[in-house]
Amino acid sequence: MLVKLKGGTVYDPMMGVNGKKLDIFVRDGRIEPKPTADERIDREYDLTGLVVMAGAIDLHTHIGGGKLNIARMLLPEDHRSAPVARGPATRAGSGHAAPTTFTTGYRYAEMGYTACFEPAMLPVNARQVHLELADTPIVDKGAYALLGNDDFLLRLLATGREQSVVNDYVAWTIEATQAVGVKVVNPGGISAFKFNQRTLDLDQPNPHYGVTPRRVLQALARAVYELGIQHPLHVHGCNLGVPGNVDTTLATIGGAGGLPIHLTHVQFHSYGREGDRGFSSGAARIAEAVNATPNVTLDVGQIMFGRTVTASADTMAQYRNRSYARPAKWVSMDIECDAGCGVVPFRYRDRAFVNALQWAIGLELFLLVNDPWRVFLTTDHPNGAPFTSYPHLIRLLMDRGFRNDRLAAIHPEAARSSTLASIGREYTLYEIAIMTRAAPANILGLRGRGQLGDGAAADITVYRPQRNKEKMFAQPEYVFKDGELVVRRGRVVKVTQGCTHTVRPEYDRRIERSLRAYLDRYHTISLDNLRVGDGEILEGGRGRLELHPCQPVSRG
Amino acid sequence: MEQPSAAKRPAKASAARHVTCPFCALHCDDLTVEGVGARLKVTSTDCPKAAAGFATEPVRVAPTVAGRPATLDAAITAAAEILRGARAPLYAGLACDVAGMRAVIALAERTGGIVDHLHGDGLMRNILALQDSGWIMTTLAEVRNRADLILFVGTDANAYPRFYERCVWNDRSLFGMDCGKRELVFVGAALDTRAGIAPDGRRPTHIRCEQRRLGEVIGALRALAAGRRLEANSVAGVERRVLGQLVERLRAARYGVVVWAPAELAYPHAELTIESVCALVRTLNETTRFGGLALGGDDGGMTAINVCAWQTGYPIRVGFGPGYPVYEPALHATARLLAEGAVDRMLWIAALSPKHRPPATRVPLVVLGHPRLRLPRAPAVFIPVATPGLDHAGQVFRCDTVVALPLAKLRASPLPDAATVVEAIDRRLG
Repeated sequence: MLVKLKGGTVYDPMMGVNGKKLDIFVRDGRIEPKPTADERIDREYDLTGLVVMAGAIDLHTHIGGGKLNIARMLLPEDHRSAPVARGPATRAGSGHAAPTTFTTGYRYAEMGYTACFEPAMLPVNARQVHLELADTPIVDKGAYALLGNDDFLLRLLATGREQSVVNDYVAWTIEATQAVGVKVVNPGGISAFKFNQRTLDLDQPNPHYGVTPRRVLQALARAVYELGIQHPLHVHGCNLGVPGNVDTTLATIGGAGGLPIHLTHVQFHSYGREGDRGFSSGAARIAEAVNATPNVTLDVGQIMFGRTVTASADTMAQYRNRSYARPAKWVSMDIECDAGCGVVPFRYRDRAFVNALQWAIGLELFLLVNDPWRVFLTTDHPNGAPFTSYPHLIRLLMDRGFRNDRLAAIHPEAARSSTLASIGREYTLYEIAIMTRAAPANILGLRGRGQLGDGAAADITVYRPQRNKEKMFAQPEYVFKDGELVVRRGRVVKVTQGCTHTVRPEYDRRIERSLRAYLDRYHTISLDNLRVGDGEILEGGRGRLELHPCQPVSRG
Repeated sequence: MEQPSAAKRPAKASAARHVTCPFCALHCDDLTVEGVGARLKVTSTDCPKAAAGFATEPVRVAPTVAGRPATLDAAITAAAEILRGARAPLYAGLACDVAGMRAVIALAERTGGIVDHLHGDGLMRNILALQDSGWIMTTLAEVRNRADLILFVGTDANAYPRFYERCVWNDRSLFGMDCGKRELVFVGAALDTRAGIAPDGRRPTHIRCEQRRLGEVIGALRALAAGRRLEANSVAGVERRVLGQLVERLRAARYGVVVWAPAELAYPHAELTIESVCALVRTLNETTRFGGLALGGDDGGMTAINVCAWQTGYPIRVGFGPGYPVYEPALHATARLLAEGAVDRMLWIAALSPKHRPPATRVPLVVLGHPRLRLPRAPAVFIPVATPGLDHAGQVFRCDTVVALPLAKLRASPLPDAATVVEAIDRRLG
């Protein structure tokens, strides 16, 4: 079937198209060059006056796996307040901060998103992550394997094993867990917490292994780089949420030694210690460093006021924040000599100084980092806010008047101690298309996604332009996923199943010998069962795997 | 109509390694299982649960409708007809795998039904404690490598035959600890603590108290651990001096673990005891490290609460009456729903064991059961189903919630798996 999307105003940064009126042709799920005059157009959509972009991509959203499911179990109140009835095409569900899998897929699609990446997949939890992602409809999925607190890696580093062995282990883990990237969370800190260490700085040795977070970071960043995995090491650094952690974050940027790294939810890592309350914005210093360091990308992890739940592998940080739990209940878990998880429900209040400043710090980061190709729109769902707040966030970035009105409503001292009021920048539609489409596809190495060029997957979102950008982005006119119309006027009309994006770096398979012996000796899961088979994702045709190439760097 | 289904011609023995055992929530995944045709034998362990479970030979049993043999197709049609007329069907038992749970929730959603598990009471004790106050937990590999003190509250863990071998008296640990030196303390009544005797013959501490009064003892330990004075000379029959000594040992542990088995705390409001245990663990974490470990969720229980949570937002006891999921931890209990006549049909799934009989009921009953399941009365529809992990592949969740393991297909089976049958019923109603 040949479909013509006629006369929309197209924003496609990958092709350098900035608001040009263009026809787009779609056949068999792909975008095609203009057909010859004698070819029959089966279906035509008149998009005159509408804005056309590729489907949006969220590169950091906790949508599936152990910690999220614990959050769901912990918070029936979150679900009771947001029931979702079964529809003609859709399944029932529930949830505001920790929505169910079906609901997650529908809501993302209804906002024009066509791909979501779960950033914290513990290898021992990989099977559960993929089971949940399989039940997340419409959108494409992918996950980053979490390393850096697992005892196997820490032992390699403590015994001074060569980088090539680290690389083999990282590659094995990516393959076995069906991952598309690697994330490190509080490098070595989750392990340290199990030894009753309550804080761990970048250059402080792990109490058992003597290995510093800096060493873990460098080993993993190098492994990811040398294996040629497109997505740089995804870094949740030390000292999350601690006033003064801006220095740690700057040291982390410097510590990468020129290797590509992606710093995630940087808002939570941009805190100074100045002012009467000992809490201040470090956003300007971070932005300055990022602007000067081309090997670094970041996502913000914006907070929004209201109820949510924080779910993180960083047990050290989550345990530290336990007294802020609202409602007053929280979960912490040490997990399988692999990592951990902490779940703390939260309420961000605009009248609370710290929360108000956190909000301003996130926006400062968005507005002070110059290059939209290197800063990504996230709320670290659900940690800063549920992903459903993205349209509101986009309005804050695109509409200075609206932003300043909101700024006037927050805790006055927080507003005064932020430079936000003085920042005039407003994101353009083109820049929004970069940060939510082209740049994430680029940084993840997703070929043929995040763009509307010939041969690309026909993941297409069509908006009706409005002055109120929140309304515009909350309710697309049309969303096409792999060429099929899945959303009309912000409502799901057809449920499809997206693919799972993965990479398979090459490695020396002899690593399995030592890993197998290690698991048999110390663990309660064998190597064969840790591995998530292709069949478990394909499920007899329900799922699909999309493999992206790696470009290994020869070691010299 | 029962016939042995083993192949007539002599088959060669074959051995499968790294097999996951579906027969308790530890889901040990290190089994070697030898098979000759349909006969399976576990050769790597003498665990009685594994031995019995894998030794169950399949039998070729026909489905029945109103007690009479029927084709599978006819039985599925009959089951669909029963559910079509339902106002409030109950989907219970649910001893199955991930695929089975997914199919059941879809069917419950379509028919406005309620979902509960055969171990719902035990599962809910834990879940109520979690939803009220949260907890600090640990997992099997952490216990195996880190625990220097293990406090058993109201359980001897003997329902989990390989727990001691795998997580207590293991030979080696990651951090150089001599596992034989672990300190074990049992609190409770009627506990058989022999498995807790160390390899060198050292006996565990055993503090006896009534199961129902465990909450009082734990509460006293909490108070002492928080540095408060205890006025009473004894609590639930346990002397203050004994409690004081125990608290000193708990506080001196470097990585302590508190184990309980929710199913064994079978008295009203035992969730409050579990909450108290969780609070003790929190208090101890102020100065050292501790984690809880709940041994429970057998027979697909952990699988059920995980799948149900990600699909509906609630662990179990979810109903779809209004079209969206409604969670009623007390009202949606199988026994209560049947006793109060609040449901008008029941579909019971017991794919794992011939022991899981449905509760007696007058409502039309559809059973998807183990082929050796014996029922006192023929249900409206009986469909024998294959055993996950023996007859078909699948996935199950372990007691510590974050680990899902693959189940293997070890032999050919003439029976359909539960998910396939439920999906077929669902399609008839679509």
